[in-house]
Amino acid sequence: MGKLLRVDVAKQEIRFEEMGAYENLGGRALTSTIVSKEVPPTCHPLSENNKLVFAPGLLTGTMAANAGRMSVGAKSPLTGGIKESNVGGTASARLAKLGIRGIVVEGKPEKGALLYLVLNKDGATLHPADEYRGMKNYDVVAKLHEKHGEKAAVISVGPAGEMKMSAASVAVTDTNGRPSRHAGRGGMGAVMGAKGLKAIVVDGTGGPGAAVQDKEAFKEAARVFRTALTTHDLTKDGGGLAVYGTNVLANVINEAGAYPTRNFNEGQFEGVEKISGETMHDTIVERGGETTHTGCTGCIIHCSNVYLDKNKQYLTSALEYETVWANGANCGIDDLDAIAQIDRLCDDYGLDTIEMGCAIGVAMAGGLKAFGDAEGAIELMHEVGAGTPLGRILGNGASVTGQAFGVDQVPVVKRQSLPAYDPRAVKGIGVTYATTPMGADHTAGYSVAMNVLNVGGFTDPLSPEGQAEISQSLQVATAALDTAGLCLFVAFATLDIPEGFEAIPKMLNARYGWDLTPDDVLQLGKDVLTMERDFNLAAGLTSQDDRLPDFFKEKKLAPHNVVFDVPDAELDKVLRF
Amino acid sequence: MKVTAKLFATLRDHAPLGSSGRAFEVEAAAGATVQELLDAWEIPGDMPLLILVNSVHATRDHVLRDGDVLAVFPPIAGG
Repeated sequence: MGKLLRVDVAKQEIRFEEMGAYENLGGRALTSTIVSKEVPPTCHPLSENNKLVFAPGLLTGTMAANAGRMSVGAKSPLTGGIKESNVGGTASARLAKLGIRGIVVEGKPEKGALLYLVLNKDGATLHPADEYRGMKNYDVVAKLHEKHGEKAAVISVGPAGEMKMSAASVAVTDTNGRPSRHAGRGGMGAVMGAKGLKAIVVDGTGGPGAAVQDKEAFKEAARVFRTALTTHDLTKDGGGLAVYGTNVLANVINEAGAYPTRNFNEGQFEGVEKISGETMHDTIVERGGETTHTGCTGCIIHCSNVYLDKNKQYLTSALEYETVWANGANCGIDDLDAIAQIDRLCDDYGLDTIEMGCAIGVAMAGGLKAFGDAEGAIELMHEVGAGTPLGRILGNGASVTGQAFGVDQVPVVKRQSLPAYDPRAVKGIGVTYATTPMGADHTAGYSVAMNVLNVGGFTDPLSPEGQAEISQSLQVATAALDTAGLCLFVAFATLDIPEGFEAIPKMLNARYGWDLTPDDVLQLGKDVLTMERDFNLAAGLTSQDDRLPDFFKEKKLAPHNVVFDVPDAELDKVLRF
Repeated sequence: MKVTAKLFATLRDHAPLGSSGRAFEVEAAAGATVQELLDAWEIPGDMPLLILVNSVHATRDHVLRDGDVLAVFPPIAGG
């Protein structure tokens, strides 16, 4: 059931196809399978041979809670390997409502051609997008909403994607219609820009809806699943995520001595109080913003927020832990308003906030600006948005920036920047950074849960023991969740509440008439990872790319004075099943 | 003995008046455990907590020493 939509940007042609061999796939399994089968691993990621795939998950569009995620896949111009970049917002559920299981964008436009795609119950149409050329995301979303209705979801790239920068993101509108959700990692915005696709408008009104074979069984499984989320301390109403958002982590990670400060030089930031989740909460409340906000369709956790500036004007939404860290502590910046401004600029120009924060941190290490120079960081963001030569260096990420400025401490794996946990003090996440096919990625196998947060057990973050095991099991479970279209935060509840996890195959079985066990679901995750690893090998990556930069193994991190010491032999076993 | 304490997120309300969001000094008897301080702050016994002493994971029955830094969090997560 459902269709695959193929968009040929060279011929400017669209066609709907049966799923065929891709019938039982969704989300990350669908994007990674299509990329593996249809994209030559050695192609240039900006060329006509790369394909950009959008896919709702296997549960997206149903009444399952927190199933509104979308996978965006291609060969990454940043890592040179396969990428699945995951995003929430409102587009995925609407695609599912229209019966669209995936969109495959192929080819390369005739020089200069820029298009946008409109999807609704009547089908799919391509339109010229010249009047939107160079527009920032907030502006183009406003214009498309004027033309196609406020209720339409919009997927778009900003100037950074049009300029094909490797840190460019794909934006998706949130439940307020703002482009605050991003498929940030790995330059998917650059691929979309290279294909001359400025936006996709998705209006689900009147669509057939997501079909469910056994409605009663589905309803029951969805009820059990929902109960797991509403009872677990982390995901429940009034829980930490709902009240403080993801930035509640700042103080925990800082206290644990793992908060990367000034380009991963130290593990604690003296300015953390000014940028913590608690301070952000209090600031938002004082100014009349929203501390509990729903970014994504079908979410019952509500981790998002709406941040107003000091004049109580809207500034940005979904100000996340990673963003605050990357453009805060990592740059020595303790000015929350400046960080919120940078978040807004990243959302508008269409950039990965992690990659940008790390690029700026590396540039500071290289002497371009001083650590702590908030105004300087904002200036650099504008350079990126304007596409100046300096902006083009920074907008292509930390690795390119490090090379340009002669920096020898560049925190990347497979050229993708490390996120907000120092691997020396959280060794389980270090294993994930090194071994996931995605490049340094925290969501790919969130070992922080067991290393720091006491979720799913406790594994000492400062010891090399047991880290490969937890990273492996989390990477497998995550690949499965990404395939289902589920928000990763459901893992916090399902890791602790077995009936919650078991409800996932039950919902899949009720929807599709399958017979999966929980083990089958995990096998699906393993199959996805194996396929991704094989693509990377064929693309020229080797086990030498499954390593952290040497400085993590040599420079001791205060306050624990630790180095990353999980042996290479253990890293090499993580994705061998 | 003196212990520096920090209570975070929803636990801020349990900190002594005037010290919300900041580290505060606690006078405790030698050999006091984390649990005894939690009791003094009226933090519920059945609430799952994340406890760090000198940046290292600890449990409620951990015995504190002079100069320790105690950080306590309610159940929180992020990404």
